Amino acid sequence: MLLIPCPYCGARPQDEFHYRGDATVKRPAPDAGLQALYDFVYTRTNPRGWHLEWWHHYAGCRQWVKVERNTLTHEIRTAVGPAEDTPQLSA
Amino acid sequence: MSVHRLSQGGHINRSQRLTFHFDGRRFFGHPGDTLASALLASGVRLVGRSFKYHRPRGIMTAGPDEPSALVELRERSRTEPNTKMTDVELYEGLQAWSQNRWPSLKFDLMAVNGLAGNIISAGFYYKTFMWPASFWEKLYEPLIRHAAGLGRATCLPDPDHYEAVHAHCDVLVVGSGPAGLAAARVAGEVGARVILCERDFLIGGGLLLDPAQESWRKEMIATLQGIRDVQILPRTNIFGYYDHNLLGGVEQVGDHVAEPHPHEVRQRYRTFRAGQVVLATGASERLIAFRGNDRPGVMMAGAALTYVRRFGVAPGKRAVVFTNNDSAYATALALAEAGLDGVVLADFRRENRLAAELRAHGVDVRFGIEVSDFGKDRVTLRTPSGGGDNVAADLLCISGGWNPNVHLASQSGARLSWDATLSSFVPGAPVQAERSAGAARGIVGIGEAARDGLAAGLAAANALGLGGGDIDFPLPAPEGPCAPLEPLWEVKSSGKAFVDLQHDVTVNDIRLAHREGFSHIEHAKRYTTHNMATDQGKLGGLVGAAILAEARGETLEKVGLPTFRPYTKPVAIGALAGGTTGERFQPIRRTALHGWHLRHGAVMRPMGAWLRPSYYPKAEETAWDSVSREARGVRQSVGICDMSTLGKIDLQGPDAATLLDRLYINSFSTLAVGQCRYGLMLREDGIAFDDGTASRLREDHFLITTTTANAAPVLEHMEFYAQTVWPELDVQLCSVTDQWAQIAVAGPRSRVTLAKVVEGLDLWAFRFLSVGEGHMAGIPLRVFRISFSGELAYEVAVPSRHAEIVWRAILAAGQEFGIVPYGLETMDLMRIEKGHLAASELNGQATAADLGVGRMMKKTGDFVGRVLSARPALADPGRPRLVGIRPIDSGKRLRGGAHLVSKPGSGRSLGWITSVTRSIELGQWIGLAMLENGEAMSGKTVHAVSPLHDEAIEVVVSSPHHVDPENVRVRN
Amino acid sequence: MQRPATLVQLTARRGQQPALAAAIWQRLQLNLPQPGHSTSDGAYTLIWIQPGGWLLQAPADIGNAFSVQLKSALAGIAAVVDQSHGKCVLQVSGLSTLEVFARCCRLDLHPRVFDAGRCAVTLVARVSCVLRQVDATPCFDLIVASTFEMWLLEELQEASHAFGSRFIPANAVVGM
Repeated sequence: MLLIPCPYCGARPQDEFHYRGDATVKRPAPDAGLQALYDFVYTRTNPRGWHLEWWHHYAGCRQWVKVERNTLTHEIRTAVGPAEDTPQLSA
Repeated sequence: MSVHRLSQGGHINRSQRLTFHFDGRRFFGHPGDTLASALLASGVRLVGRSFKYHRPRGIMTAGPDEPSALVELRERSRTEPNTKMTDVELYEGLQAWSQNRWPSLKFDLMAVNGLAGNIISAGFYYKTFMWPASFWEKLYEPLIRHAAGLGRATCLPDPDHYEAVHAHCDVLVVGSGPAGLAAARVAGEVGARVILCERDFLIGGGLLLDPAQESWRKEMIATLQGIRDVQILPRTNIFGYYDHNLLGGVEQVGDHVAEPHPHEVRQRYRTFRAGQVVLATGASERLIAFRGNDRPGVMMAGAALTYVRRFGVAPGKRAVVFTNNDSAYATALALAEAGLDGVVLADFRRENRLAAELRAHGVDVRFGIEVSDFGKDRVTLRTPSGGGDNVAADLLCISGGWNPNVHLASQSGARLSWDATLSSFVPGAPVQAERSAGAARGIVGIGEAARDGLAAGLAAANALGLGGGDIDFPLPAPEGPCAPLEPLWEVKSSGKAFVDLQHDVTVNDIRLAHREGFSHIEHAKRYTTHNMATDQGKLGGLVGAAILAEARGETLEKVGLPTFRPYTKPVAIGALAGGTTGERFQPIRRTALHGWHLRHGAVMRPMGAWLRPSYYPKAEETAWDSVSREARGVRQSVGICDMSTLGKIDLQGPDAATLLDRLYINSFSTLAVGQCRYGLMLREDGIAFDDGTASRLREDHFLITTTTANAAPVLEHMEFYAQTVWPELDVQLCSVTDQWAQIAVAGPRSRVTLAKVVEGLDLWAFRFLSVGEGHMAGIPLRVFRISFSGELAYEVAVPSRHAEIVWRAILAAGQEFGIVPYGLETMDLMRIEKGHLAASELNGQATAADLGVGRMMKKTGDFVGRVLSARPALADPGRPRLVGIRPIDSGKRLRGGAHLVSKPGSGRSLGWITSVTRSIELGQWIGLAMLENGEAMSGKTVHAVSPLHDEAIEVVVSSPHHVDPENVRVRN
Repeated sequence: MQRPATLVQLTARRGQQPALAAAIWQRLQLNLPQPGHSTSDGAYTLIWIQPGGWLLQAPADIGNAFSVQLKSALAGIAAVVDQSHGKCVLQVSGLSTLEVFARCCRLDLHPRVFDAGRCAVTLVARVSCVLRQVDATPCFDLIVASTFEMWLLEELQEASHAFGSRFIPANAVVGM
């Protein structure tokens, strides 16, 4: 079970979180058109290595936390609040 | 004393005798024995039959790496198959049975498989029983299952208790041999929180085999027990190493007694979240493949040493020790000292300086020797020149070298690296915060291991910022370097030479796998089942890999080992469940009215985590009697229903209305204070997500309701958009589901009933879709005029601890009108009559238009799901739309899930039935369905087919609103 | 034991946290605690539960009027939501308290890392709870959704099976 460093609550076990997935995609502007929305909902990279993901600390502070996790090793490098930016992703 | 029990030595208590039974025969042992040591002491050699060939097997090891000596332990509901007798602590009254023999252990009919052994090779089952396919289920599988397989599991419920315990520590030390003890002590002395786990019931590991180390062992244990933040857990096997330094283990709390203490658990599932881990897991001895290396009487040399030194048992009368390394010299010496006659040490190597000492003790040491066969009480020795000699022996001890127990290190993510000196793999660079110490990383010698453990424990503590100060305690003297091992994997000869005794895999099976293209170690493993038994190839895994390497013409280092996975030894499912079974399987949520429902005979039904009343049967009533009575009561007069499980979310802030506008397909910024409105949310992909009502309590304060099932997902969805997509909105969200109990009062008499209860609110001036505040005897109430039943109805929200007072007041007020409490079944009946949506319709496939609420969608402004709901495929008018259906023959029943087709026998489904009920108003079965071109089909006939029931009936399509389609009643 | 209490959830409006802190100080002479912490004067306790969000635990007998007053005092500053019926307080104390929590909670509550006044929103017996160390005797308050109260109570009793436990309901007339 992963230990996720919630930026508010500290390190917490994974079962306090719900996973949502890719946090690199941004919801397009309302007038961006069908293709942009389609890409936002469906088009995903599937990186081997560092990735940015949404985890909801549902059993804790109820924040959507942005977590930088290595999909290969499960190492977690950073976790920030929902409206914050993480340090630039690097491979 | 029994025949093989030595008169002194070991860690057993000879003054106390334990009685136990094996295959119905009575035996005796002592506290400190395992089942295996007690049987060996009694002279029992044959203990089981093998998996595939039914060959006779004996006890080969002294621990959980045992491949052969498997028994069915205990009786009836406590029966535990495939238990390794080498890993069972003896207790008074123990009952065990040998497995995999029929009709008896001594005379086994299935042994004929062994004669046909060259037919039953690797992949035999895959190749032979393939055709015809229909034979598999009927003939082959039952036959194979009878012939193969191990023990039988019991079908009775487990009578014992289990629990899970979660621990945290700075340093977790796995294994209590010299390295583990030293690591735990140094870490404890510098102030770390230390947990020391030992799978065995005695602390000490290899120290238990050397009487000279006994005082040091005792001193170390006593010291550790004196350090406050050091916890020692014996009988606790760490079975897996997981992410972020989480390790799992099982503590066998009550396995060494016939029945656990009534207030104690049988096994305790433990998790450990450790800052640093020291793996002092020791090493396992590996076998050598030769003809007959599986016969009763073959024993690993280290195990033989253990039986002599720890259990005071001579495991045979005449022994040959076959080795390629120094470690087995101690075994030969111990056997000679135990009084065995004519111990022969056959060393594959050319010479060894230890020979003189052994010869002085009467051991016949021979060099350059291989064992080529082991038959009945006869060992065949072979010199490289081809010369041979037969030696009489009932015990053949073998040592092919030692493999560090790298399982946990490997599971932690560390790669393994090849150690040419050991001819084995050792843990490579750590990936997680762990380090191996002692024999677990190939360090040989007790003194050496203790020093290595001390260094590892100190390094672990230092890594956590603990340490400093001089930690110094006496350690056993180093043993000095030993002579190098000479790799020996196989002694070639005809006949079966095993690499995996539990799955009956031979060297030839490995070669066959290679010839047939399964040359990768992982493929060879699956093709031959090598390493896949419960001992996970601890004895012969590397030997099999070496045979494969030879066949491939590559180095063993290159071939490698299959991935190590949990569990390091078998774990009972009951332990992992840890007590979360039956009523404790998942959290149970009860409304504030739960007690009332129970007292009034409600049939409760789980719904998600909730328990909800299904209906309230009166004496002699069938379920349908109750439901129809309740539904008639509501439709004709008034009923009352506990709606507390609906999700309720409180939204406040200047931007609350904006957020709702962006989450629902319809507008809420236009909603007046004191009004409520039905709303539908979509997912971003345009599919309907959830429906409910939103009420505007103040300009900047809303309360929304969600379906029971989606209460948590809807709040998460709202938080996601509020926090991540539109963080600029000033909105505060929180769940008030538990704060407010909600009571539906429905039916034509609901207003007159409620008016007797609610003060401060004029219900006659209170229009449909209004929200208002009132009170009852000082209890604040929120009243909503909304209706799920389709009748004139209200929902009354009350602070939950006052719910029962208000509920009873409403019941009393309605008594004169014959008020009925109604449950989920009745609610469902009425909402289907009315054509309201529930989870069967909101099934994750339907759009707003499909559900007949497309017109609610606002024309301007963004909302979640707007863009993608306009995709051509989702906007296709031919999609299945919500309709009502009823059988043409009003006597016929409908089936939920039935498919709608144009005529019986048609293979093309036009849609399906989502919900069905027996309508009170219409006096027949009615249903809701999703049907292609639904609206255009109204009035037409289709067929509902339910192949499961072998039914096909004609149904007529209608509006989904079976009852009061003009919505007159709710507005009365 | 059950501890009746008035519970009010406070969530600061956007940018209004300093104003909320000032208003709370003026009214209760308590500071808004940092994440993972609580502040208490014995009668009133403020518990951090989320960014910008606190749970105010107040004496049971002050009743509904308290949250109504608070609501008007904090208008425009914070969302004030009464949770006195939505949540309840169970107090767990005794020598084996940490052993009991080890059986139903995955947090490290060792005094070195979780001392008096520390709090956490976390899973206890698989439901989300506010856990607060009242004092180091040790004594913990567990604040849980009232619909899970029975479940949590049963699970706590199960977890304390080996140690023995006694449950004191809120209406029992006993001292501590």
